[in-house]
Amino acid sequence: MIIPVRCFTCGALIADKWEEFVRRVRRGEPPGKVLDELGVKRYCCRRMLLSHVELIDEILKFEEIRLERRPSS
Amino acid sequence: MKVRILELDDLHIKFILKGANPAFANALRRIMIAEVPSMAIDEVVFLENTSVLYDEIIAHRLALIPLRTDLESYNLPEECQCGGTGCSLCQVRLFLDIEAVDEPITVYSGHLKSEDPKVVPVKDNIPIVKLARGQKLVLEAYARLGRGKDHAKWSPVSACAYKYKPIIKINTELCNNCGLCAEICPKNVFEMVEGKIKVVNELSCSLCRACEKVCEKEAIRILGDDTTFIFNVETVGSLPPEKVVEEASKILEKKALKFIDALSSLTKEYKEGES
Amino acid sequence: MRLKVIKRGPNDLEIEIEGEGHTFCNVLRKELYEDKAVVYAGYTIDHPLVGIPRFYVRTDGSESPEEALLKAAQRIAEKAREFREQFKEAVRGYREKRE
Repeated sequence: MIIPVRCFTCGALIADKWEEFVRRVRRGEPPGKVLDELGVKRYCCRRMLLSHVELIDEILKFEEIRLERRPSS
Repeated sequence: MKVRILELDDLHIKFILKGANPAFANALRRIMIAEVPSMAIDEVVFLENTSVLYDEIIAHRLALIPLRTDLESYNLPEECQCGGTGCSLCQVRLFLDIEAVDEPITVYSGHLKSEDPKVVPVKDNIPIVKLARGQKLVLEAYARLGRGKDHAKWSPVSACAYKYKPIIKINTELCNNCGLCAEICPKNVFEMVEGKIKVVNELSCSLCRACEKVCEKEAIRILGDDTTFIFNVETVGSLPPEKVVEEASKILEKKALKFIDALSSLTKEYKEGES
Repeated sequence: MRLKVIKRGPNDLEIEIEGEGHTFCNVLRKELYEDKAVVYAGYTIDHPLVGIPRFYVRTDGSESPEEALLKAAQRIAEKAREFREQFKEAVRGYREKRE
């Protein structure tokens, strides 16, 4: 849904690094290098960012459609 | 007992503890994880939530946000003079009032407004929820001190572990300097220097013994020194790492002193029973 | 912390330590091993979440179990204090070197 605040395994904070991670990976940087530079060193924390799918953006689209269909007050 | 700091920065400390026993090191580790108090959101009152996440999910996310903790000015609720009902000495209120008016927005931990400027989220850019146009989130959160044994959100550390200091013995009479150990070692402890195998990185050895197994001449012995410990403590930012270790030793001392008190009241009971 | 005596023999003592767990019991047990008068020391916890530790000490008679426990606890407190001082000193030294 949305990036978890902490790593499931060790409890380290990871959510603060998500947006920078996505931005840089989209720009074409290798994810491994970005994780290294963000200081995410253990593989438990790395998989949190690597394997995450930000589904909340998809759900927000439905909310927007519902908003448009609603008769304007 | 002797301590040497190897690394220290804002979030992490690495040190060597010499002249202790495993039980003492373990007590310290257990206390750091489960008993050093830190601040976390414990109760959330939702006034309005039209976001796509349920109240419970948002409350859970809020709880996991590490808050800067001031141990001197706050009490644990169960030790507070208010009796745990909640007063300004054991509780901090945080507010959040945000609405996506014209375009979708992301709500960040930085949007939380705290009563106490000292107790704030350690990072301002932790996403809490995303709001579509017209969605609103209004809430009031109560942060309290707590301990890791009650909930992991109150644990001040993420990775917190120790290992024995490695002892690497190479029998130079048997060693034929084949270099297999340097090849297999995952931590790069060995290096070939002028055709001879040399230990260059003793402390990073993880005692995996891969080199022992691969050595055909059985020239390497890996041992752990169980009186010397390499501690590695990483905090989530609520407390500085050196403070966590210090507090842990204070708590251990307090435990021992409490035990002495309880024991002396026990022996007093005996004497009264006899007379 | 509350102690409850389960059994008291001439040279042995079994107590329940309410409000503690492995964290303290294990150091206490190891510390008692350092005492020559202690013949046996051990504890059990039924389950780490619900059990109250039961601690058992037996001595050779030259010292009462209570005395052995008291001395062991004092040594733990002393060790914790020593560690804290050493640690603070080390941190100070490390910071000074950095500047």
